[in-house]
Amino acid sequence: MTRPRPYGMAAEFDDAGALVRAVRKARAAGYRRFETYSPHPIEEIDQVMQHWDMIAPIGFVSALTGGVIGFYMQYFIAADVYPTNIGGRPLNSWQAFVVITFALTVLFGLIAVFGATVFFQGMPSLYHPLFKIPSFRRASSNGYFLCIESWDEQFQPIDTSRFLQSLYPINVWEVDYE
Amino acid sequence: MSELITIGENPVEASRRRFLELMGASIALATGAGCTRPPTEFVMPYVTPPEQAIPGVARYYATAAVTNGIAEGVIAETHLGRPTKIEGNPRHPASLGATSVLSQASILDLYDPFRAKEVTKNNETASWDQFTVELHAALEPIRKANGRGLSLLTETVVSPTLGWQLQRVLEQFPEARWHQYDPAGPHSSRKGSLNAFGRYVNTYYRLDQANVMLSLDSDFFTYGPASTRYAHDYAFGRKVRGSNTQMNRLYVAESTLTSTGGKADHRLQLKYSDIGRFGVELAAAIGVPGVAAVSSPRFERIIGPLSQDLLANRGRSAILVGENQPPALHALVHAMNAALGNAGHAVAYTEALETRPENQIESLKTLVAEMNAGTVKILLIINGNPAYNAPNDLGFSDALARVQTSIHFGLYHDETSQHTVWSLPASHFYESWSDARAFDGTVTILQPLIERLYDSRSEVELLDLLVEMPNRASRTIVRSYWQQQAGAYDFETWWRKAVGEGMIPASSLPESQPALQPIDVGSLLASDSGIELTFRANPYLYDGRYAGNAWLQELPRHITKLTWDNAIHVSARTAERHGLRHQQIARIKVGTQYVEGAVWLSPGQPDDSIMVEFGYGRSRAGPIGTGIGFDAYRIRTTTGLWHVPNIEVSNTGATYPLATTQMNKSQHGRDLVVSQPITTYQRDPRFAQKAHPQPSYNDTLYPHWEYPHYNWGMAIDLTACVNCQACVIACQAENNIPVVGKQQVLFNRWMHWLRVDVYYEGDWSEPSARFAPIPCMHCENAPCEVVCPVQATVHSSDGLNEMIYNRCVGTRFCSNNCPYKVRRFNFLLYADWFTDQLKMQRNPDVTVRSRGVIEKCTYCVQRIREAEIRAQMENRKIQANEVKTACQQVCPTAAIVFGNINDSASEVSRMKAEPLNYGMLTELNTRPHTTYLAELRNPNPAITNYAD
Amino acid sequence: MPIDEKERLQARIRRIGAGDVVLVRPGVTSESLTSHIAGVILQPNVPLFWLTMFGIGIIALCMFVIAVAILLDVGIGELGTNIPVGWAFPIANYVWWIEIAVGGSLLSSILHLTNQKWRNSINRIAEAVTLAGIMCASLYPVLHLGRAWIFYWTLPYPNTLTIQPNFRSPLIWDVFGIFTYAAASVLFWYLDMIPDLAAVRDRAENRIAYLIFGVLALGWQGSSKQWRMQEKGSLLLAGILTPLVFTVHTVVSFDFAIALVPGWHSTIFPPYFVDGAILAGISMVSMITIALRSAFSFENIITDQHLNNLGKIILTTSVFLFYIYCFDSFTNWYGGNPYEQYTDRFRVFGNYAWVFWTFVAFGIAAPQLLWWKRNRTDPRALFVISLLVVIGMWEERYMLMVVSLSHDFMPSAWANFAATAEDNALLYGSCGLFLAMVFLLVRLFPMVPLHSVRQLLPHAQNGGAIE
Repeated sequence: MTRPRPYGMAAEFDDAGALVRAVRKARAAGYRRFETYSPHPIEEIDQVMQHWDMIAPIGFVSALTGGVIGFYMQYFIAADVYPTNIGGRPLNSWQAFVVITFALTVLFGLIAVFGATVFFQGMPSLYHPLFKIPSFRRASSNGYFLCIESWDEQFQPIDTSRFLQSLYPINVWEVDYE
Repeated sequence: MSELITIGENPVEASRRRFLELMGASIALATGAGCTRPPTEFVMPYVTPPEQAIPGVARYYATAAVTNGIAEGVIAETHLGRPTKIEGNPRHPASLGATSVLSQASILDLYDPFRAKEVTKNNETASWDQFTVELHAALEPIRKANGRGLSLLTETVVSPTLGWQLQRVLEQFPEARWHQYDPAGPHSSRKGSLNAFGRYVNTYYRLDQANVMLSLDSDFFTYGPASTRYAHDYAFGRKVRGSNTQMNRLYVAESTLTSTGGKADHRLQLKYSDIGRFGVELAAAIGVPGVAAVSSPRFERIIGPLSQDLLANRGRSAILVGENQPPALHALVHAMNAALGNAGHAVAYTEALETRPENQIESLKTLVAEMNAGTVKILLIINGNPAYNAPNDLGFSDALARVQTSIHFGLYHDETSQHTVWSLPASHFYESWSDARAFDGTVTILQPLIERLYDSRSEVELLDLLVEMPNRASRTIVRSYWQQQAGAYDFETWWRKAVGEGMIPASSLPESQPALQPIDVGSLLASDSGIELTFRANPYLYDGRYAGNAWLQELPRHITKLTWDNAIHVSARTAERHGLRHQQIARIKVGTQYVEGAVWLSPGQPDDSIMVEFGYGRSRAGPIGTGIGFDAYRIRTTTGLWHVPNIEVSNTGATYPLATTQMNKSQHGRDLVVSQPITTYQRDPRFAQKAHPQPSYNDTLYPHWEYPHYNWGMAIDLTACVNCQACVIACQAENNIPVVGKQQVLFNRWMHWLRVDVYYEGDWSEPSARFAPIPCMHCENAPCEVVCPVQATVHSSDGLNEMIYNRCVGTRFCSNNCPYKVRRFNFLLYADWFTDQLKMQRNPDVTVRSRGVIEKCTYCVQRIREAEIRAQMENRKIQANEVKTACQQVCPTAAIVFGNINDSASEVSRMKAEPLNYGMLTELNTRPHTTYLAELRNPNPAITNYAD
Repeated sequence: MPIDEKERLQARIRRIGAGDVVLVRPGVTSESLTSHIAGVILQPNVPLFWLTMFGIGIIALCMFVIAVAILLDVGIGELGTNIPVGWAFPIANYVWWIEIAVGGSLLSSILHLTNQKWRNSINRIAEAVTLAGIMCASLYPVLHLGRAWIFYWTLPYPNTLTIQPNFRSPLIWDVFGIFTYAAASVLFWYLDMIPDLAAVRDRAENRIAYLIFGVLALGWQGSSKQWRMQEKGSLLLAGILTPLVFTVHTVVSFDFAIALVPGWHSTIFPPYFVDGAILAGISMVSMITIALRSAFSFENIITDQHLNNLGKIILTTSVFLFYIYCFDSFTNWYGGNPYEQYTDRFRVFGNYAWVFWTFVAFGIAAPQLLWWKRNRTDPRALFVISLLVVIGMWEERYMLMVVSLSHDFMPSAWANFAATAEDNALLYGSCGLFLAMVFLLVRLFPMVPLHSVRQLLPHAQNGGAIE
């Protein structure tokens, strides 16, 4: 029986500095598919890891849509579907419609930004293979993890493990999917 | 015509469907078995033939509203057999199409759920049959004794049929006594006419023939059977239109500020006891024979110009005198009018209206003496409430206990019926046949508008019980009397015409010129230095009989805007001197009796003069009227009917909140109610428009809406408005406006859609007053509409600011944003949704509003739509003055005019074209559709102290 | 990045303003911080202080529920509102609570955008204030309606009546404005809290707590990608929230400024309302922060420096408010509008003068004590001053309603307002709701943003500086 291919190989460090050094070394060693896990964002790692997202454009387009919908809804209702003389004001009282147009612009924008953020964070995903690591709970307070994923071209369970050991981690785990 | 079953004892059974069956025109008014049930009757139609009664289309019947026995001709609007609204009868001399407040409110009395509903004996339920049997048993010995032991006590009897019946009773019981008593009746004028002419005469005025009027403490816009007519004649004598600048002039000397005094061109504020002296000095100045010249420096400044003004208008002037003033002054005024040649012109004399004019106080005294002597075996009290309102020194209630068989007949089980053996429920005058005279004697035959709600009888039916053994229906009795009187060869036609038109043509009493006797003015010259007390009947509750009428209780008093209470009115200076405080309870002591009531500091009250009103402090007036205010009758005696000198007054220290609908009566220099002397108008007719300019359409960036077809608007002539408040109560009746009660008025949540603002002008210790009816302005650029979140108030294509109750969620933003504050809000469930009788009064064309919605004046949109439908069916446009709002229709002075602004033929567009026309708060660019014609006054240029 | 430059930067981050006060006291570690904060949530036993405050809140909340039941049953006639004073307590409460909410948003948006690190430790508390404030505020526009059960008629939705709201009405603007603001606040609060929820999840011993926080954390792992998105997302949300801080109260001010009531109809209202909002909001944040700090011994992460900064904001905004009042009166005097002039005089000398002078004493004069640093850094002094400001600002809102409405254009319609028991029950009851909500939020959710504070810790910062 062959062992199933693991998710990756993870190493735990006890401070951010060690993690940053490990990342730089992993990159120098030619690894490309790896991810770090830390209790707080680390600026240096962001510089190394290149993450792609479309949060801002999505938010912008959505906000624009919200604005158009917001104004059109008011125009449609006030001037088209239910035209009424209210206080002698014109049907298309666009000056008065500005506020709601703005509100809907913001509302659509912020919902899109929130949704896009969570989406690009890969959430919600209540399970993650790393959760199998017993000490991974520390990743939310003072644990720093580097995981080289198995689909990296250089990934070899033994080599990678050895490489990780060379970074003086606290521990190294093989991470299974299940 | 079919025999219909009588509506049962239970008014709840009187469902709408029943009324649909019952009414119409050739209606059989019901009858059932039983020896005392009246037989079938007919109701005559007014205008429309009766054959097809269309549900949803109102029908109109002419009848009269009777106050104190005297008629004001009215036309009742009925919906499916339910009278819902009273309008004036345009042909009737006392009405001319308008009505007084009391006539308007009479419709609510009809439906009052707390009326007497059953015969009671010793406060236990009995029946008419039982009463009839026992009455005749008790009458048997009296009949044998020629009627000795039978006494009747009525209110003033003016009705010809009733008078005739009373004569019949006295014929059958020659030794029987008939007494009359009316607590607030014209006692002084009766005695005054006796003094002046040696006999009783009826005096009335034709103010349209007077250029100069002087009122000596007479609030003739408010009190009296002709007040509606007087207001009309007064106002039409001072309508300035275009280049016609003719105005009459009104001088008022009065002992408290009234509407009449507020409208006066010159108001003289005098203690009650000084008015007589003023009269004597004036009489001397105009040369009344037999009046020695007296003059005092106090009146010097005004007597001269006033007497010159009166003398310059010989035959074109009128001097009126208040009922509360002593008979001597009444006699003197007759002499003054005679000296000025006014008799036969502006002042008219006829024979007395009453069947038997008499000194009612003496009459009542005699009765009480006989009761105490035990000679009265049967006392029949027909209407009236003497146990409550007889002068306190008579001890009427105690005397009543000595009468074997005492019977009270009235609309209510009241204080008197509490002390009598029998209490009989009376029919309302809208429920039965009767007749009544107007102020000039014109007779109206009253026809029933509705089947009796309860098992009651009318006065004529009751008297018939005494005389005729097989009692007849009221219609038969009234008809038989008039058949004798009319003597017409075709009585049926005569009768139909008389009933249909609401008056018997040419039935007014003939004028006479009674010869004057020498008069004695000595008693008028006395003046007292202490604090005096004056009484007045409350303008709405009158002598207290309307205390159960919630509309009247909540209708703000003319000047004070007080509701739900009477008060002790004192001037600020007097209050300060005697330690009295606003809204604190004071005690007034007269002899050994005293009353305690809340103090109201009244600008316009003379110093050292306290005024209190009757009509309150009822102990048995149903849930509405019981226990409200204090009972001023407790300090009223036969010698001090209207005025008590040298009383004691002290502060008790307790506070008592009084509910008013207008807290602030200063304009704070805002000049919303514009008033100027006529000379200003002659200089610059457009002065009001200059003070309140209307911004042009070009002053805003917005395009403006066009109203090409109809464009409804209103114009209110402030010169004509006399603050009678009939419009307020008409609006209430027409639009199903609820009353809210004192507690809610204290919270400032009253519901009237139309209010009459009162502002004091000049020195507040001796002020003049400004009046302005404020309905919704129906602004073209309505501030309320813009802020409503749910489009519950929008503008119609014919220029109305509409309110959609069903859509309203109740944010009250519209009210906040209304600069005129005409919107009212149902903070609680104010409308009575549960009392069946009150449901019958409601106008079916108007929604009864629920809790939590805003409401306001609609310009009587139901009337506009009705006219629209009518015009559409007849394929025409609505005519120029076809639609009348309720307030307009009831207005005696035609101050309120409504119509289509676009139609140049309409009265309203003519009014709006007047140079006096201005809008309130136009600087806000609301473009109000209700505009005002600035008030003009006509002060005598020779008198320099004109307040403005 | 060169080392010296980085150190200088870090030094600046840790020392805002006065150099000697630090934002995080020495000795705090990431581990101790997490234990401390997560402990508050996960420990079954709660401090007496918390129980007391929460209990008071719940009792007042019960009163609130009863008052609302009466209100809906009998009608808003139970309140003291009348004609002309159509709005009184409920709307004053509404504006006041929105003001209080805005304070929290200021911390989480503008101070976030401008990288004011001192906000980190008190941010979550401020947001709890915001959420509870919005919750209280949003009840009143519904409760004050004559027919509250059809409040949804203010929303545009397809209906058989084919009738829609009137978008010209500021009340409809409010509906949208407040909804957007509430959504923004909740989303921002939540997004920012996900890593902390994960931290609590990872410390949960209890299976149920683990599951609950596991679900709430959405499976957060703390990967660099998530952190990157997190930072970007919250920056963008903060950017969106920033205009909202200004607009939400601007929109609320339109309820008044659009109306033509004297005392309301003024173009200065938007900045005036925003300033008042920041004043009241930050004062409330100060009070809650001071209370929680002493109750849960947060002195090491919520230092005197935080109080100092909050005090400065209160001082600044109160001075600005004073300026606005002077300016408004000047405009009314110079403009010559008699109605506005009367309202100004009436406000200062009329029936409700005591309200005005209370406001001046509490809302403008009291904060002037904060010119002294001693008062700014003394928790007791700051607490008392903040309390006065919060009360004063309520008086001001009350004055705004009642003074203007009771004496507007028509002297004949003038009438006074008197509050009823129901009015008071709704006001104090909503304070109970607020108290209960705030204390519930800090009990159930991490009350300090762990990940933000961690960045202030020395060992977290030296990640890149090792080389």
